[in-house]
Amino acid sequence: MSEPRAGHRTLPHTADTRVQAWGPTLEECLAQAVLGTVESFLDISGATVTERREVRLDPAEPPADRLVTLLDEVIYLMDVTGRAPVGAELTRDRAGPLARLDMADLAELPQIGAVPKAVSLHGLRVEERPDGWLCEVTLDV
Amino acid sequence: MKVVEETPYRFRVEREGSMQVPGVVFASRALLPEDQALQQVANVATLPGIVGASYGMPDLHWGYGFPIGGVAATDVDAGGVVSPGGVGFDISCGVRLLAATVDRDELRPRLEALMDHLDRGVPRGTGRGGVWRVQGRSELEKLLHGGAAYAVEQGHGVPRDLERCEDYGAVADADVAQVSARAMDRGQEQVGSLGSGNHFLEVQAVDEVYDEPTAAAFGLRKGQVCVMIHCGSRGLGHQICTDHVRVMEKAMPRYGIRVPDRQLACAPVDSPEGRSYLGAMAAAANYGRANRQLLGQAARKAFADVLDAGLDLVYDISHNLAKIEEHDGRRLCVHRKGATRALPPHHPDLPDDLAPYGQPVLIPGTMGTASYVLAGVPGGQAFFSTCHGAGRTQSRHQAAKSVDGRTLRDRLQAKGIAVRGATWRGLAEETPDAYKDVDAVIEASVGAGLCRKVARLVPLGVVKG
Repeated sequence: MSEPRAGHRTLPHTADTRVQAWGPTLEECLAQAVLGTVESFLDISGATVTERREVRLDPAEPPADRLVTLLDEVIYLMDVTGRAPVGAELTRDRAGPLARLDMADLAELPQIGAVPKAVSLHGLRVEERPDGWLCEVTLDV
Repeated sequence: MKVVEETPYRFRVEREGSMQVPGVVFASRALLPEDQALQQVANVATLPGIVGASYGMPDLHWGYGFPIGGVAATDVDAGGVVSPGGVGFDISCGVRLLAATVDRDELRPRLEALMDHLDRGVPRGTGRGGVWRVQGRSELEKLLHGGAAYAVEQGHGVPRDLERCEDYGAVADADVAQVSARAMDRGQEQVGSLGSGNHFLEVQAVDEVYDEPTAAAFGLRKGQVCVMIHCGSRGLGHQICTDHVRVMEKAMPRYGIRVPDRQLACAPVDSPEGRSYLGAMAAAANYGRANRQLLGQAARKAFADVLDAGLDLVYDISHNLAKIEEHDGRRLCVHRKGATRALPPHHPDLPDDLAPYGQPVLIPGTMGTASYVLAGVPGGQAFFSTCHGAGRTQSRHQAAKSVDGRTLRDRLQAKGIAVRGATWRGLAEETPDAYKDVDAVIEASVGAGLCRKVARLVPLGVVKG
């Protein structure tokens, strides 16, 4: 049996941006959601990584809340550091789930869409399916 | 869901399930929005303490939790709630209109030079940086208390500006202790920046005046050049909404509150969580007003440098806010999300010189069409509220697929509208075709008895966020 592919795309939403992401594991699904968020408004094809950031996630949080925490942090980092993640990997160590984000300077990345400014809880979905995990999240732009 | 036409501009969403009140949407049949937005009107009607109805304005469309164009009031003394989702992420997002000392004929030969100056002088898009570098946390705290009044005190504007700002430029009761460090971090370097999405700075001309005495009192005349600024409280406001939705979600079980949508998280106004949100919200509202004050100053500099002309403030008003107001002897928490307060003539909150005419209401349209100046009317509906804009009909994706940014720019240039976008894609997403017909929205707003028309403005130049 082949592994289900991981990926992301944007879905239609009248005023804002809705991102769908999927992956064989919850970790990969959430990492794809990070990339889906960033690629909804930036062309990251020529990005140069300038720093790595780590985001600690709470294992006690339900998966949907973990997704919100992670994307909230991405948006916060964009505003205060002027950098956005162009690579994301979720792992787990003794202290629990950990996201590693490879950051690039926003000023160097062509903007191709509206900038996400917050994560909405409306219509938030993170679910396990027979072939892996799927999430959908609406971002205020 | 059963929707009944009561009049040509008023539809009732019948009360069912856990709705405490019916829904009322002020719109023509043609403007009635997608089912998701009507469902959101019904969801808001379930909030504890809601009175009257869950209202929708003519530009109603699908949001999250509350619809965009939603108005809901709760009775504070009967356990009524406040919901950050009922204000929206962009707290005190609103519109500022300034009127120039020049007419459109005088501007025409210098339009491109003016737009180039504005293009350089108005920070927008991603990243940090605004026109005012606020000195450290202590100065940011002063700004969160003082809003546009603090900006003017520091030399960014003239005292008369404050007489033409809703709440005289600052809302009372800002509680900086309720603003998180993360929100302060996000707000520190964005004072005086447009942001992105549907935010803009437009150079406009008064195309039509419907009511000469009122227009004159507001400082407007036919042919006059104006500047309209649409923006809000940037990352700081968004972070405050995010933070307080989380807190209220956790607190709701303690108050026995259940809501049909997580983004409707709420708490009684008269509770620690409710008071904390309202204090933080007021701080963000002041940030939004200072932000527009600074962008107005950037426009003044451009007009002075390029045209040797001045800009006088017509008015500044929010369309995302909750306010404690008194209606029929009750203390209500009125949420307006994508809806504008429209006070009737002689309301005590109006300054003396505007009192005979009603509150000025500023409605930004779309790039290729028109914007409006309206005024509040006696007997105004929905706690004296009206629309806030054209209202989207297409997703950003659909809009960007329908037209290329460069083509749109050329099309607007051909109509005499100079465009300075942050990005081509961003421009395409805001194509006028993605919105409802603003003229139809205004006609429905007037027809429903929410406001009256004062003037219609057309764009000459657009700086897009």
